[in-house]
Amino acid sequence: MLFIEGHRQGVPLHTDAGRGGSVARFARLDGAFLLQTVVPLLLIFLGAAGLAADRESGRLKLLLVQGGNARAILGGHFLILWTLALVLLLVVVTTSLLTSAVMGGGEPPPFGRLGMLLLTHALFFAVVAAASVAATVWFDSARGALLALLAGWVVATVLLPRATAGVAGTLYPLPSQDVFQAEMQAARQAGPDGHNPEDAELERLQAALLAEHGVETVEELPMNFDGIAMQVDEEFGNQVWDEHYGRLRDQLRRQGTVGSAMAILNPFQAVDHISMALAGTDLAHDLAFQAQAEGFRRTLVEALNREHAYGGSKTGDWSWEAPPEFFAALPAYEHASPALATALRPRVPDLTGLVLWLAGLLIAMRTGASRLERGQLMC
Amino acid sequence: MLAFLAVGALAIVLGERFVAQLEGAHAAAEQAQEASVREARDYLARGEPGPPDRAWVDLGYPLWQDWYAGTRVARDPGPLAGIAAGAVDQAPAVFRVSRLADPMAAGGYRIENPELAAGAVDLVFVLGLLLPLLIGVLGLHIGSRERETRLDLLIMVQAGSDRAWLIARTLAVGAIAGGAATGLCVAAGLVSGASWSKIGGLVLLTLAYAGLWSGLLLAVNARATTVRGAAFLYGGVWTLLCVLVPTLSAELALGRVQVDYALAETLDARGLRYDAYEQGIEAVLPELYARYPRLETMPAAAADPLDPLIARHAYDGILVAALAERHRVRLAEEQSARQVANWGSWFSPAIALSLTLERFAGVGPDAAAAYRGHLVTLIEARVRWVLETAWQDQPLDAEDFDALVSAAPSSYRPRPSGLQLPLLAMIVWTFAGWTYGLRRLGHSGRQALDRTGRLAERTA
Repeated sequence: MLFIEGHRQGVPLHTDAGRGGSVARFARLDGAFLLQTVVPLLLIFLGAAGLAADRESGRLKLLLVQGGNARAILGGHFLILWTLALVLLLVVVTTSLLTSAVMGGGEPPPFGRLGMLLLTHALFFAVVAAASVAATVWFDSARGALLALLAGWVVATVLLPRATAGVAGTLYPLPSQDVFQAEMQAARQAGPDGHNPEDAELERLQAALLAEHGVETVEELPMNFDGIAMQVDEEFGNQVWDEHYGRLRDQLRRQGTVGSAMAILNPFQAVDHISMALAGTDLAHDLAFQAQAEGFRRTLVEALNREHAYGGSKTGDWSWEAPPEFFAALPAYEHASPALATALRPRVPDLTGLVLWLAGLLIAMRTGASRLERGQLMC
Repeated sequence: MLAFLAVGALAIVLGERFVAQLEGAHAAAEQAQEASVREARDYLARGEPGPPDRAWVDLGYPLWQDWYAGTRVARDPGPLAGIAAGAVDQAPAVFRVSRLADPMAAGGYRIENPELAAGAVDLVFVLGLLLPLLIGVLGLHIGSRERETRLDLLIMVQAGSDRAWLIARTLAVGAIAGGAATGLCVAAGLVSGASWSKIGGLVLLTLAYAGLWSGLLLAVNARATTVRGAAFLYGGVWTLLCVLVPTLSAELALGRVQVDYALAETLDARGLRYDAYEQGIEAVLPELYARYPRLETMPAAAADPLDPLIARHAYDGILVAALAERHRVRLAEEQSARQVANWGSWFSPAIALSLTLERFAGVGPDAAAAYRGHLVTLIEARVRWVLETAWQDQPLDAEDFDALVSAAPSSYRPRPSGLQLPLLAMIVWTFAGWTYGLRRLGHSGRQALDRTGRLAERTA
C-alpha cells in the first residue's frame, strides 16, 4: 500500500504483524507454510517408515530374491509419496482458491501463474519424495535415515532461510528507516522550496520569466507562477527520491542475489522464491509496484501543477478552482503486474537448483537400487 | 554441538549489528536535534525571529519554538536488545515529538527485503528452537537404546533399577546443552556490555528452558521402546511445540487485530484531521475549554474574536485528544492479541520463552506498544505547553526556548513487564515433563522387572 501525494514519494505500508504480539515472529499458517513446511515433513515421516518397514520385515529381501527389480520397488515408493503430495497440493490450492472466491478475494490468479505454481510444487515434492526414498536406501537403518532427513528438514526450513537473511543483511546492509528518511529530508532541504517565495532559485526563475514576458510583477504574468514553483520543487524532490531509493533498490537486489545463490543449495528456499514470484509477493513485484505507483504520482502531480500554472489563474489568486472536468479527466491508477516470463527470469537459478536436486536424487536412488540388487547395500 | 555454537555465535554477531543500527539512528537524530537547537539559539541571540528567507517564521511564538526544539525521543535498546534482534517491532528507533506528531503513523525502524523475510537468527531463535533440537540429538538414545539391546534387563539384574541411571544421563544431557547455551548467553551479555544481574537472569531463563526440554526428553525416552520411536516422538513433539502451535497462535493473534496495511488507521487519522479543520473556531473553543479549563482563565481567552495566530492552536487540542483516543482503541485491540500470545505459552514452551526473552530484552511488539504509549503522553504534554504558552499571549524569548529544550526527555527504555505468565507456563511445562517422565520410568521399570523375572524363571 502506498499513499500518493505531492512533495514526497510514499513509503510502502506493510502489514503491521507486530500488532499480533510476540508470536508474530513465528511463521504464519498460510498455504505456502503448509505446502513448503508441513507436507515435506509428512513425506519424510512416511518415506522413512515405508521402505524401512519392507526392509525390517524382510519383505524387501524376499522380493529381491524372487527376482524383483529394486529400481521398480524404489520407483513405486517414490511414486506413492509423490502422488500423495500432489493430492495434498491440489487440496491446498483448491481450498485456497475456493476460500478466496467465497471471501471476495478478487480475481482468480492467471492460468499461467497457477499452472507454474502447481508445476513448481510438483517438482519440489518430487525432490522431497526422492530424498526420502534415497535416504532410506543409503542408510542402514530407518533410524539413521529419519534422523538425517529430519536434520535436513530443520536446516532447510528453519536455519538456512534465517541464516541467508542474516548473511545478506551483513554483506549488503540496509539503512534503518529513520536514517534513510533523515538523509532524504536533508538532501531535499538543500534544493528549491516551492512554498517559499523568497527561495533564491525560484527568484532567479521568476526574474527570467518576468524578462521573457516583459512584465514587472508576477501578477502580470499570463500564468500562475506558484504552479511553476511547485513543479520545480517537485522535480528536485524527484531527483532526490531517485537517488536515494535507487541506492536502496540496488542494495535490495544485491541481497536478492545472496538469496538466489543459497536457493541453489536449498530446494526449500528455491520453491519459496519461485512461489513468491508467481504469487506476486517477491522483491521484483514489490519494486515494480513502487515504480509504477511513483510514475503515476509524478504524472498526477505534474498535471495538477500544470493546471495550477496554466489553467487560467494568476499568481497569488488562491481562490481559483480547477473545473470539475479537469479532475474527472485525471486517469485512475491501474496496476500492471509483470508478465510471467519477466517474473520468472530472476528465478532461473532457483528453478535450476530444483532440477539439479531432483536429478541428483534420482541418480542416488538409481545407484542405490543397483547396489541393493548387487547386495552392496543392506536389504 | 559445534553447529549449535556456530549458529549461536552468528546470532550474537547479528544481534550486535542490530544494536549498532539502532545506535546509528540515535546518533543521526541527536545531530539533527543539536543542529536545530543551535540554529534557533543563533536567531534568538541575534534578536532575529527566524531565518531571513522565511518571513513567516517567528521564534516568539510557541509554534516555532516547538518546531525548533525538535525533541527527539530515542528508544534506548537496552543492553540485551541484541538477543531479540529478530523480533517483529513496528515502532521507530527515534521519534520527533511535536504538537502535530502522530506516533501511530510512524512505521518501524527496519527496511526489510520481502524476499528474505523468513525470520532472523537471533538468540531467542537459537535458544527457543535449536536448543531443544540439541537436547534431542544428544539424548534421544537414552533408555530406548538400552531397551533395543536388552541392556535394561542386565542393569535391572545388576542394580535392581535403571531409573537413576536414565535420570542421571538425561540430566547430563540437559547440563551439556544448558552449558553450551549458557556460554552463548554469557558471550552475548559480555559483548553487549550487560550487567551481571542481566546476564544472570538470561542464564537462569536458559537453564530453566534446558531443564524443561530435558524433562520432555525424559518423558519421550520413558515412553519410546526404540530409538526410532523416540526420534519420531521427540521430532513430533518439537514440530508441534516449536513450529505448529506457534504458527497457529500467530494466526489467531493476528486475527484479533487489523492488519490492513494501516489503511483504516491512516484514513481515520486523516479524516479526523480534516473534520477538525472544517469546524469553525466557535465550535472548537467550547470543546477545547472543556478539555483544558485553565485556558479559559488566561489572558488570550478574553479577546473576542480570538487572535487567529492563537486560535489555530485550538485545533491542536482537539487533534491530540483524537490521537489519544485512537491510541486507546489500538491498545485495547493489541491487548486482545497479546492475550492470545500469552495463552499460547500454555500450549508451547517455545512461545513462553520467546515472550519472556523479548520482554526481558525490551524489544518486540510489547516494547513497541509501550514506546508508542510513552510518545502519546509526551505529545499530549507538548500540546498542553503550546496551548498554555499561546494563551498567555506573550512573546516567547531565549529563556523559554532553553526551558523547553532542557525539559525534553532524552530517551526511553521500556521496563520488562508481563514476565509472570510465560514464566509460570515454563515452570508448569518443566514440572509436567519431569513428572510424566519419572512416572513413566517407574512404569517401564516395573515392566522390565516383570520381564527379568520371567526370564529368570525360564532360565531356572
